[in-house]
Amino acid sequence: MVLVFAKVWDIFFDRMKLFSPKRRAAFIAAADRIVPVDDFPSASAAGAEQYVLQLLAGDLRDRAGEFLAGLDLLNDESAAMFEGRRFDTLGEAQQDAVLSGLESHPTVAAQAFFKLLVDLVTEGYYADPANGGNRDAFSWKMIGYESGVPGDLTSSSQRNPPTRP
Amino acid sequence: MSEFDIIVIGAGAAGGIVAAVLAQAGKTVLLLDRGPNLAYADLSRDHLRNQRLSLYGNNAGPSDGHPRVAEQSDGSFKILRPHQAGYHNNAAIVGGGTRVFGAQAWRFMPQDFRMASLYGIPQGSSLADWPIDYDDLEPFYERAEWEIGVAGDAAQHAFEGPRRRPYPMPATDDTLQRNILRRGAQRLGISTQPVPMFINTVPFNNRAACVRCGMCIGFDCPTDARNGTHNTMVPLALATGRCVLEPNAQVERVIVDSRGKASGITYYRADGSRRAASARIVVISAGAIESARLLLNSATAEFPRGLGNQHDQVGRNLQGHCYFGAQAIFSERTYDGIGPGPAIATCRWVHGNPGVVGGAMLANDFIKLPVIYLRGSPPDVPRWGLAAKRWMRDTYSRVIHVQGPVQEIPSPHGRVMGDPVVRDRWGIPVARFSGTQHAQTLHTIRFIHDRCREWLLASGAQKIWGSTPQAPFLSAGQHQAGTCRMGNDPATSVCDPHGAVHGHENLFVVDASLHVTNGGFNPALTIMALAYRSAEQIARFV
Repeated sequence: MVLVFAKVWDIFFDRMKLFSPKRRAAFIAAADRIVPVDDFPSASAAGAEQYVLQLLAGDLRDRAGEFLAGLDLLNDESAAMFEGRRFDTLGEAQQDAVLSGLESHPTVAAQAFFKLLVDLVTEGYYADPANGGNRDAFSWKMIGYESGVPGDLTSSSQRNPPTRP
Repeated sequence: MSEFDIIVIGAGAAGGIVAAVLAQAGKTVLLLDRGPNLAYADLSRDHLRNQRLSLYGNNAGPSDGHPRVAEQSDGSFKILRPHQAGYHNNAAIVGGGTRVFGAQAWRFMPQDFRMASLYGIPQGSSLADWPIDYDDLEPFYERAEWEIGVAGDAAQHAFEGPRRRPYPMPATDDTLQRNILRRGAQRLGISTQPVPMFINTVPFNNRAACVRCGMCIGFDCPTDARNGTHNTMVPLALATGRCVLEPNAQVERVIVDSRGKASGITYYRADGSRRAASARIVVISAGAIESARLLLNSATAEFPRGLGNQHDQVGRNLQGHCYFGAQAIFSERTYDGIGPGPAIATCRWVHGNPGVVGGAMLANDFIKLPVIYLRGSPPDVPRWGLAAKRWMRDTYSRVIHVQGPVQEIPSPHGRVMGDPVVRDRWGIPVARFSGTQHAQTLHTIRFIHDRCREWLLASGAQKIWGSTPQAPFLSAGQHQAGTCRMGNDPATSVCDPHGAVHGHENLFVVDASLHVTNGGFNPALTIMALAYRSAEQIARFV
């Protein structure tokens, strides 16, 4: 009964293109190994979940199933490597070991998921804040990029036409 | 009795000019564009969905409902959406590519018009001389520079053909990257110059000077200081009161009589209504892919292979430019945030390269969107983890990317056809691609790639990366051209040297389709010069 309910629960989230709590935890943990915190925020703190959910419900809906299955695989691999533990409960070094395992996994599907995961988390982190994964333009401040567009939040100074002699 | 003197299909780099010149000459003009006429606020600022990086969509069209089909290397066919690689997109918007372009405003060099004479014809290629030369085009280059508005410094251009008049605006100021690359060029003994650009470096044409922001190419200009046909020639055409602009209009076919004389067009509006319009002259300025598609889709019983296609030439020789430059990290800061970015160029390697056909102008790149820099990371840098984050943090402000448009050697097999199955939202057969550029182009690509590395190294680069392709491919995603080449012989060309389609006296193609070869430069100024030249000819004709 519990098993059936859990299955229905997952199907519900699949239909909604949303993360179940288990998948959500796996995603956030993985995102924060892909872009970890240092003196600038990690991927999840910058909005990775919002960014990815928007895409999976929109422009990337064709790959939503593949992505959700990949998060399940992340937990399965974690369990296989570390005595049945879920990915988000592992230590950082163990999480990195699971991710590296996916990166060089024998199946094409696992490798494709890993690439998609890394691409989405990093591109969201460095894209414009309006996409949701670069809250307050943290990453732009970190690397030193300014759009320079007048009136833009990420433009630090009022720009004037360059003066000529 | 026709409704208009002239119908112009496509309001881009060429069509905007043709419409204005003819309207100013007293003719009535219907100017159509497949895309909308958008305001600045309507053009997205999304770093993932723009004309420079269209990962999930685009800011300047086309919208979905306009697929294309591409033959794959294994012979299968793939249906592509407009933002996908291999679609070879150009903006679908009033102003065309000039609304969102990088705005480099180069003249071709005299050698670019005589490639076959200079280099011989590689076996299997369709390399040929143009039927006109630099001197024929020079007055029109000048006119485009002054009427559209170009900033540059011709005195520093060591390889340019003769010019009568300087640029109307001074070149952009020095930037950090210009200073660093100038140092390297001096070590190599090669001449450099500022990049001529369709940008107001001073107030010009009643519009302000550029504020040098860091979101130029791929986006609309926030201060209307970048010059395209949308803010120059199209408004001039409309101001005459003789030009009607019809945006969101997808032309279905050109109507010709049994002798091939054009009488008008049919087209679809956004609401799905099908319209007809008549004119004494029809000018197709839809870009190299769509112009060829329209000629092919306009077939009749008398012209079963399409208009101008008696010799199976329409759609062939599709070409663009190949960019395989190099990026490098420097010990010093290279980022100053002063856009658009391209500030220093060398034309030393456009021609005169031993054992190589053609070459390319090389320049430093536009200010990189951070996500574009991320996607171009070197192969030996980790893609994830703290090391990947550190790489972005430590190197974004210390990178220089040098690249340039490698002139392709055209092949008759690189082509546009009408797809026999796939239709657009209006039921019109879409463009289908097959073939590649001539394989010897790879030789030029590798030569130019090595020059990029050499220049960066001489400038003090610490780490250099970049790659070259292993096999020829179709590259019309940058600067599509060549599908209706001009020539005097109808057996080997589609149009005469003024763009009149062979066999159809009042039907013209005026855009980069006419380019016999595509130069080692960004082609916008050449497209514009040809448009002025053809428009003057057409004005004499009606």
